[in-house]
Amino acid sequence: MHPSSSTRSVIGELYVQHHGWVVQLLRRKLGNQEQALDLAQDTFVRMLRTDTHPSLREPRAYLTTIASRLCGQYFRRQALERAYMESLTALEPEHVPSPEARLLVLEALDAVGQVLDGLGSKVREVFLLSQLDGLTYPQIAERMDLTVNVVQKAMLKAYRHCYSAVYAA
Amino acid sequence: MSLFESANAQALDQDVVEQAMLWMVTLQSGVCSETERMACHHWRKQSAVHEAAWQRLTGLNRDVRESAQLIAPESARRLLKARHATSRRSLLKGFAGLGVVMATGVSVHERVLLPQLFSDYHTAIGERRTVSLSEGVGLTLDTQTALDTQATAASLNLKLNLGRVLLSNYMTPDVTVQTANGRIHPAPHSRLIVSQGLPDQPGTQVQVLAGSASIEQGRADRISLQAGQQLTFSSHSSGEPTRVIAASTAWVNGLLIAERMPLAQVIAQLNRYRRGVLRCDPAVGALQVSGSFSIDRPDASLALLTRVLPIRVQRVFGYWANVVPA
Repeated sequence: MHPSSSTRSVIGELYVQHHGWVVQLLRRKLGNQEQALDLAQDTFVRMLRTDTHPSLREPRAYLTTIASRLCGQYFRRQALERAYMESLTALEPEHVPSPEARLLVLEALDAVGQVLDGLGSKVREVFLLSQLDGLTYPQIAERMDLTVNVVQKAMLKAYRHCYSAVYAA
Repeated sequence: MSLFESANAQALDQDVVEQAMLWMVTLQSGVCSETERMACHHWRKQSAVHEAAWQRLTGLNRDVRESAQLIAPESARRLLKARHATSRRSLLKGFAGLGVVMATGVSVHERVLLPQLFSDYHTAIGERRTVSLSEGVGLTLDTQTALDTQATAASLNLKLNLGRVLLSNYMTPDVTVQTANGRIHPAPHSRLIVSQGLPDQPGTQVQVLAGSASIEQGRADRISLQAGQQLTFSSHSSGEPTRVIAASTAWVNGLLIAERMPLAQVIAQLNRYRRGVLRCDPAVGALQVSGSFSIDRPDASLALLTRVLPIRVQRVFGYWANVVPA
């Protein structure tokens, strides 16, 4: 996908007018200038990638929305990376995966994590036990101390959520 | 290509999707009866929309499984829990009440920096673009090319930062192409290809297709190239001019023409046009390849290669593939 030149110029103008403000907003949130610059960049890139271009009478509200999403994703990604690195410290050096393999693990988990964002922890666990561990509903029910009926409802809820995350976004 | 992608997906009837989810939840229970299985099968056959909804859900299942396939399920669940455990309150501080967290993301490998997008001409992975500069200079940019232009009343200076361009200079005497390694002066009525920083080719390469060009490199004398000659040079050294092979312009038409080319080189070329990571196992890298391949459809070209060579494509994820012995 490549943004048209008119889109580029509109966003170029936004960039000039509001970039400093977005960086400031993100720095307050992240407490880190470099990260703030990075995510500010992503915020504008994200705008270039959206098909629908809002007339932007309130560009700062729109920018804030995008920046806040990216910020949330950034924090969760950090949490994921921390947990993963901690889990690797338990391994013998020769079993520690290469940086590239680690990145792939993180990218993939982050992708599924983003789809699951917004689901409650119980529903998420039910869904993952079914999808990743291949457990049956009675097994999940027993393990999580739920009824089979509740497991079934949680599965349905998870499917609705994932479907709209992927197909209605 | 990548996980959880819904490229240009049409909206499906919500009731049908709901019905498909009910079937999916029933069939995945681990305790469903043969009758239920048959009934679901029957439902899918009833209409194309039913089947489409079903396929989307199985695709979702597959993506979820694939995304965690490199580590044990238990670790994946634990890590995802840690990921989601980030306090919502700390997230929302400063953004109170704004926006629902959405599911799309700019991933690291796709991150594009704005200066590049705002450079005068810039092509994405797999993109090829022809632009006509008013000064009587025609340009075709290959995949992943970044180019700046500086024009004055009398001259036009193109700065090729990365990638490959085909340049046709119809008349201008004062057009130059600058790269990190030197400056190229195409003569009027010349046609040439300039590439910079391609895999397996350190430095700059100039291929003159018609007319002539001269190359200025530091304080050394200008080197003159005639039609049919090519030269590869770095900022401090250059080899001897060699012959341009006929297949050099194939990329302009969306083709890669290989003549007894090592497979590793073919794969490295296709990789430039394809999103993601494409690797070639050294065990098959020396296999010789002859044929013409589409660079607009790199995955179709890979499929073609697997039919003529003892190789197969092992997909690690949607976007990471290894070419390995069959």
